[in-house]
Amino acid sequence: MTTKQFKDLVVPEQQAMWRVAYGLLGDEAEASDALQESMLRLWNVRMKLDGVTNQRAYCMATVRNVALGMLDSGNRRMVPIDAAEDQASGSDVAHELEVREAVARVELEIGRMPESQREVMRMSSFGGLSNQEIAEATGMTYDNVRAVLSRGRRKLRELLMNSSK
Amino acid sequence: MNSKETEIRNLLERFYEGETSASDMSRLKELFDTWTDMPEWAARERRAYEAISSGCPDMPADVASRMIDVIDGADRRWRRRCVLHIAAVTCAAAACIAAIFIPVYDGKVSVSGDMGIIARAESVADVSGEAAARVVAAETRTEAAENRYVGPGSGVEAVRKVADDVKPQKKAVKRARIITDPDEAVRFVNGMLSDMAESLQEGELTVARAIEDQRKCEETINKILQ
Repeated sequence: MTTKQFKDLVVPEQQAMWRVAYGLLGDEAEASDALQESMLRLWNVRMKLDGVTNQRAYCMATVRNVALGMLDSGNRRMVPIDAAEDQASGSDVAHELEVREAVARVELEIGRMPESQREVMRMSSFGGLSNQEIAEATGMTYDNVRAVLSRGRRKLRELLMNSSK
Repeated sequence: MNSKETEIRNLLERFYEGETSASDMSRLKELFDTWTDMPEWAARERRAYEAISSGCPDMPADVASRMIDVIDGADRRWRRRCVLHIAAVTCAAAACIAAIFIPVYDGKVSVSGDMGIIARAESVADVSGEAAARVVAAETRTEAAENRYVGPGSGVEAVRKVADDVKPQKKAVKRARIITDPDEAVRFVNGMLSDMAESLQEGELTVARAIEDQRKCEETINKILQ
């Protein structure tokens, strides 16, 4: 694989890869670092990429592994405050504050979930990835991702609904 | 229940089933944002939905160009390593060949033969060709050699003739040959240069194999790390 072919492969996937990293790490700078490390890893195995059937899934899985490695080494998780601020951009200040508080509770609750569910929920909730993109990154089936998301979201809804009464 | 409320409920149901697409979620956000006089149940649902699907910001604009720089930098480092590999192998091959070639070339080039016999014969050849012949004969233990050469001629020529004619009795003593003809010496050097060119080609193949082995090692390491 030439350098140009490698760029043609990975550059279009950068956005999705960055969202995977951000979803897991919750910090723009760390997501960028994870993306950079993933690019280098993919570069080192570029000769093997020609034989990979689903190159997009391989890229997503690579950045996922890098982000999880950064999580394990640092053993911390940044609260996606930026996302909450962007989401709650309405004129209702009270609503913004409530959403921000709810995001923090969601973050806490997701942290208590089993590892596989936690990963899927983070990619969906904070990475904004589609079910298909999550399936490609984790190696799970689409139906499995959907089922995990359903259980996780219902649990979070129940928690938030009970706390708002 | 109006149509907007119905649509919101349907989309929420699909969201909690894990079935909504990106466009579904955008539509749901739009419905919430444009709903004035929202009832309490809808407000609670909206808070929960926005907290669970807070999403992420867009990738910073400078990240894309930074990734291109990362790839270009990796490409440059790889090419530099290849050039250094080839240069190192070429220099090593040239040094080996020079180490072999320089000591044996001193005006007369010897090919195979028993270097010891030739050296001892040469040491007396300038004095006496006959003596040189006797040296060769003694070393090869053939009486015939002792009587083979008697007469005028340069010592070197004498050694050459005797060496060509003597049939060594020991298997270890090989046929000695001294090149004194300039044209033949040139042909021999050209042959050595051809051999050196072949060695350099083999060196390049070795470099290619070394690069491939290095790539395989890196693959294995990446597999372990992943």
